[in-house]
Amino acid sequence: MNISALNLFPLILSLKVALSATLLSIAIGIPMAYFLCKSNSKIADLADSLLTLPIVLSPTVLGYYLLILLGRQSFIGSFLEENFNVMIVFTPIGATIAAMIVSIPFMIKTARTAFTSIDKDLIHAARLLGRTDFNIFRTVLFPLAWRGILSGIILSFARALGDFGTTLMVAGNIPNKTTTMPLAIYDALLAGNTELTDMLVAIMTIVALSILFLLNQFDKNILRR
Amino acid sequence: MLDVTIRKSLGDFKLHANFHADNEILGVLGPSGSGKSITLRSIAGIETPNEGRIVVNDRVLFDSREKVNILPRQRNIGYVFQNYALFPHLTVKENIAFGLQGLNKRDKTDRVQETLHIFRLKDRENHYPAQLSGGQQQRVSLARTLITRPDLLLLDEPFSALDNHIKRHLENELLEIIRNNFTGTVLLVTHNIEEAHRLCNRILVYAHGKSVQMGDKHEDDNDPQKLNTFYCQLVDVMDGTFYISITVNCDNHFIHIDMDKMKWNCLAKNIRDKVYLHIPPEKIFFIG
Repeated sequence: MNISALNLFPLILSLKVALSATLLSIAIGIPMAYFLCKSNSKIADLADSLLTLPIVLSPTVLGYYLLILLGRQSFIGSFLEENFNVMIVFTPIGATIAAMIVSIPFMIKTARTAFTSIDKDLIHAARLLGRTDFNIFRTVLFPLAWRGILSGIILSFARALGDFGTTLMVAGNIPNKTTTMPLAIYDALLAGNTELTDMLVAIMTIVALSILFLLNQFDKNILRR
Repeated sequence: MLDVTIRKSLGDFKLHANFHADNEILGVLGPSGSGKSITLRSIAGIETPNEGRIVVNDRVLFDSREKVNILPRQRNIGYVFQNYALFPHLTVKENIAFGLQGLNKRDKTDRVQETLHIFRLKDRENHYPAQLSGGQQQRVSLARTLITRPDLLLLDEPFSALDNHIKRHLENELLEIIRNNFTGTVLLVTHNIEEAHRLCNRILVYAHGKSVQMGDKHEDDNDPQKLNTFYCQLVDVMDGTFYISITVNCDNHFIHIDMDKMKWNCLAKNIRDKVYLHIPPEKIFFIG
């Protein structure tokens, strides 16, 4: 295969999957981080440990659990298939869910740290000045934590983009359907196509370096604040 | 007007506060850890007492028996935090306007401009808190809360974050601003007895979680025993003996105080025979 025939499908799928997974992580992760930092209960600690699990667990083990939870035989899987004709396993949706599960801990961890580092007296002061909790989240917590949240978003995106094991377990490796960049690299290497492997690896490296550069910029800004 | 009767336990610590204040500046005096701040936070609604009753100007804010516990945002209480708690991402003007709600834009701007003028912050309106001096930050914090016309003003160690040499100057300034712009009850928490005497009409003394005495500030002047036992804090215990030595320069005479003759009321646990006390000079008072 020469370079002009380079199949861009894996790159586009990877970007789509990573982007959707990151958006889901933001929608679920930020409210979760907010409630975790507000509550000091045992349940919050337990939830925090559970949410950290995807970081320490092997991706294949995680993928297997997801298969059990979302597969066609499972309660959720069969329910979605019967009622909405939606299949999760071996589809891009499965890849997105897998990518979200592996990346959401980074979102929650960084956002929670950003929220807890805010002086509690600022929240008390805002309350005593008549603001509601939602208003305080919008006008005080979010503006003060957004840099932290942003680095969480970037980390999640990077993790979602790079996922191999969990995605493979849940979505499989169906060419032009669920083959993401990391899987395409593996395939290219296995097929002995060094040229293509180099090309794909180079693309991923450039993307990763850009992310790292962005992250450093934000970290610098946080330190300067 | 303020009436407080509350009990609160936090681990081993038990707070029992019981006092009344008219429209005056009431000093709340006591060493750190004596329960002053928890009292203030309970009045504001940041902490919830185990039992008791808090009434401000005939409005019940908290009553454990009748299950009344008004939310902090509905209490209409002005609170100046120890570190001022200014919003770092908002300018002076935005900080001051933060508590103004339900006004149209024009009225809001007018009120903010008027307040900026009163608090002499006009030339700083577009600065951020980090660009202000300690005194200016204190004024912003006070302005931010007084603009909402609170029923009660709580000041939590308002001078502790400032340098010693500007404290005196700012005390007078703060006092003047409060007297000119606020007519309700003011509670001023401090651990500095001199500060309390200079600024307050009456003083409430806290010790070990209890509001122990209340009265005219001259009353406790005449009770040196109480002051001594109260203001000498135990700092360290070293292999078994009370090591106390105070040398004070009083009218250029160095006075050495023989500690055997003083009564020490230590509640610290596990004291054997030897104790080492460190007493900072500003904690020593001579009476009579």
